[in-house]
Formats: sequence, C-alpha cells, structure tokens
Amino acid sequence: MARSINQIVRSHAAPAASRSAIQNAYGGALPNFRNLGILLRILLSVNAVALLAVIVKSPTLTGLGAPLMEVTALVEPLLLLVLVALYVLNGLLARLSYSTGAMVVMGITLASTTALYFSTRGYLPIEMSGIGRYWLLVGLVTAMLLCYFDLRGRALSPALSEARLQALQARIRPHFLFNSINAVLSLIRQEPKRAETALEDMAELFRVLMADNRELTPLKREVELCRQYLNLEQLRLGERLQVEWHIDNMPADALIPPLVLQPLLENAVYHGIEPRTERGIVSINIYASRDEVHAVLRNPYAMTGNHHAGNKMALGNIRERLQLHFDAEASLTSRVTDDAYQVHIVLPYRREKTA
Amino acid sequence: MTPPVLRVAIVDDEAPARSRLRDLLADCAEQQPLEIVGEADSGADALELVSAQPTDVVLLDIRMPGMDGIETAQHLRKFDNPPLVIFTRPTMPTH
Repeated sequence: MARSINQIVRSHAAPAASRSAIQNAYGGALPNFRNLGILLRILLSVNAVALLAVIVKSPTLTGLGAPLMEVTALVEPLLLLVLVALYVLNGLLARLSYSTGAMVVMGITLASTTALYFSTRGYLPIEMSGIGRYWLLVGLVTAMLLCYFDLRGRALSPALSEARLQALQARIRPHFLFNSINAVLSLIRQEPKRAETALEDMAELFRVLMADNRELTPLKREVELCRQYLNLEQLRLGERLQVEWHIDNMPADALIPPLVLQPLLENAVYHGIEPRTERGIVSINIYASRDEVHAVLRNPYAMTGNHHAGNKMALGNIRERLQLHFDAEASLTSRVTDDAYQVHIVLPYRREKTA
Repeated sequence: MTPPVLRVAIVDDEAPARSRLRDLLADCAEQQPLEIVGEADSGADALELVSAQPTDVVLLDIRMPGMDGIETAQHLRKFDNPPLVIFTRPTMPTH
C-alpha cells in the first residue's frame, strides 16, 4: 500500500508534459510580437536609433527639426509595416526554430524595406540614396534588436532564474497548517470519515507545497488544489466561509506557475473572512479571453489595517514569480472596491504541449 | 474527598475548536470533575454566558472576529467573581 502511494506521488511529481512546457517557455527565443510590451520596446528602440542618427549628423541642436522629419517620414511607415507583418505572422514564427525564425524576421524587414523603397520613390520630397544603404541600415537595426530580445529572453528564462524562483517558493509558508491540524483533531472522534478526507486534502496540499514548484502546472490542477484548501478552511470556519466558483469557461489546460491562486485564497480567507463575524463570500472567476487567461478573486474587505504587510508580501512574491515566468505578458493588480477586495491576474494562455 | 466540580465555559469562534476542547475536557474528567456550563462563539456571547452562569474557568480563544479574546478577558476581569481565563490558542505568527 505504502509503495503504491509512493509511486503515485512520484508519477505526479514530474509530469513529462509540463517539463517540456517549461523548456518551451524560453525555447521560442523570438519574442511574442503580439505582446504590447514587446511592440513598445521595438517602437522605442527604433525611434531612439533614428534620433541618435539625426543628432550625430546634425551640427546644431536647433537644426534637428528638418532632418528629424525626413528620417521619421522614412522610418515610421517601415516600422509600422514590419510590426503589422510580425503581428500577423506571430503564430507562424513561434512554430519555427529560433534560427529560421530570426532569418524570416530579417527577411520580412528587408522585404518591407524594398517594397516601401520602390512604392514611395519619387513621391516623397526627400532625396533618397540607393537601396543598398537602406538594406544595410535596416538589417543592422534588426540584427541588433534580435540580439537584444535573445539576450533578454535568456536573462529572464526560468532556467537562469531557478535559484530566484526557489527562493521565492521557500517564502510561501502555509500558516493554516496549525489551524488545519486542530480542525482535523476535532473531527477524529466524532466524524472519523470527514477527518480522513481532511487529512487526504492536507496530504495533497503539502505534497504540492513541498514539490519542486519551478515548473508550470495545468490550471485545473491549481484549481483542484484551491478546492482542497478551501475544503479545509471550511471545516474550521463553517458557514462563515462561502465560496463561489465561476469557472465554466475556464481554460483547464492553460499552464500557470503553481501556487499562484492558492496563496491568494489564503489571503482572502485570512483577511476577508476570519476577521468577520457574519458570513462572507470568496468568489473565484477564471476565464479565457483571446489568448489571455484571467483570474479574478474577490473577498469582503474590512478595515483592520494590521494584516496588510503580510498581504503585500504575498502579492509581491506572486507578482515576481509571474514576471519570471511570463515577463510583461502577465500582470497582477489589486484594488479595493466599496467593501470588497479584488485581485486580478492576467496570464498569457500557454497550453500544455501534447506528445 | 472529591475535589469540587469545576464549572467551565468554552469560547471559540470556530466550531471544530470548541468540539476539540470538549473532547479534551472529557479526558480530564476522571481526575477533575468538570461541568461545561456553556459554549460561546464570540466575545459578546461569552460575556452574556458568564454573567448568566456562575463560571470558574473560561477557555478563551484569543483570535476572534469582533471582540477578540484579550478584550473579552478585560471585561471578564471586571466581573464580581471573575473566572480564571485560560487562552486556548497561541497567536499565530503573521505570514
């Protein structure tokens, strides 16, 4: 019996699918061209290069205006054309290997340059040189940006931030251990069956808490974990804790960092339900919108004031982990509305790779 | 000679905690005759209970919503026959 449990635990601990998924989280190397942060970075850096070129060429600061206009007239249409092309082709690019993808990106920019060069030549009141010069310029800037995104991807890749993630993980301490053990103790004599269920929930929770949590996990597993956690809290708090799940449209296969939702629910119970004498509702709303996964958690909010440091730390921890996994594509915002506290998480919708 | 019956009140906002304390008191009953005079799930109810029922010992949870255990104990101390207060739960370290 003990052996079979051990085997179950082991087979759960290292699902091959999620392991390959984490490697792919960086494996793309090409940035996601549909991400606003990435688009902004490209826009800003290209314009910065253009401005730099104008400043270098212009002898006086006051004479910057006219050449800047000229450069802008050349750069912006190309930039927009390329960004639109990359946006449209993003799905295709993500499927290519990095080197092929980078070459395709280079090809797109050079092709756009050529197209614009021949379609606008003569219409613009600007003296244009031969196309070779533009190819060189555009090619260099593109290569520069590709190198930048590659380095950035490496710097942020989970492989390199493993130590960081490990440190963050260690900080999540289940403060409800004590409470849960007491709740189970109180059940053992009168309701041994429920005590057994509760201990099973606890065992599962602690298995996840002690596991290596640097890899992404399917959303449905995290939700299951949350249910087990809330079951335990409900033992203790009874009617006072009401839970509303809105997960009919949940993308169950979406990959998320483990223990992102559970600590937030712990917060919701600790700050929103425990300080209240009357019953309170914790609501969990998870849905997919386009290629994003949204999770909105709400709980009643009472002005108690003294718990806030702990709350901020938990939020900071989760935010940092989201950033390490998804960079600018993920966000965590919290706000107080009327008498409720709300946390809203947005993640890119990454699916578990099959086979 | 048997020791006098100790009148005990149990105060905790969480039902499982109260039930656990009942179990533990039942275990002690052989050495020390006990009578549970009542249970309360809030500080306010506790004060009402103790003022209605003569009580020797109050097992009091510190962390309760509304009036917490410390505040309840301060009120209990002002009673004519203040009961002995035993806090039943160490304060949890904030996480």
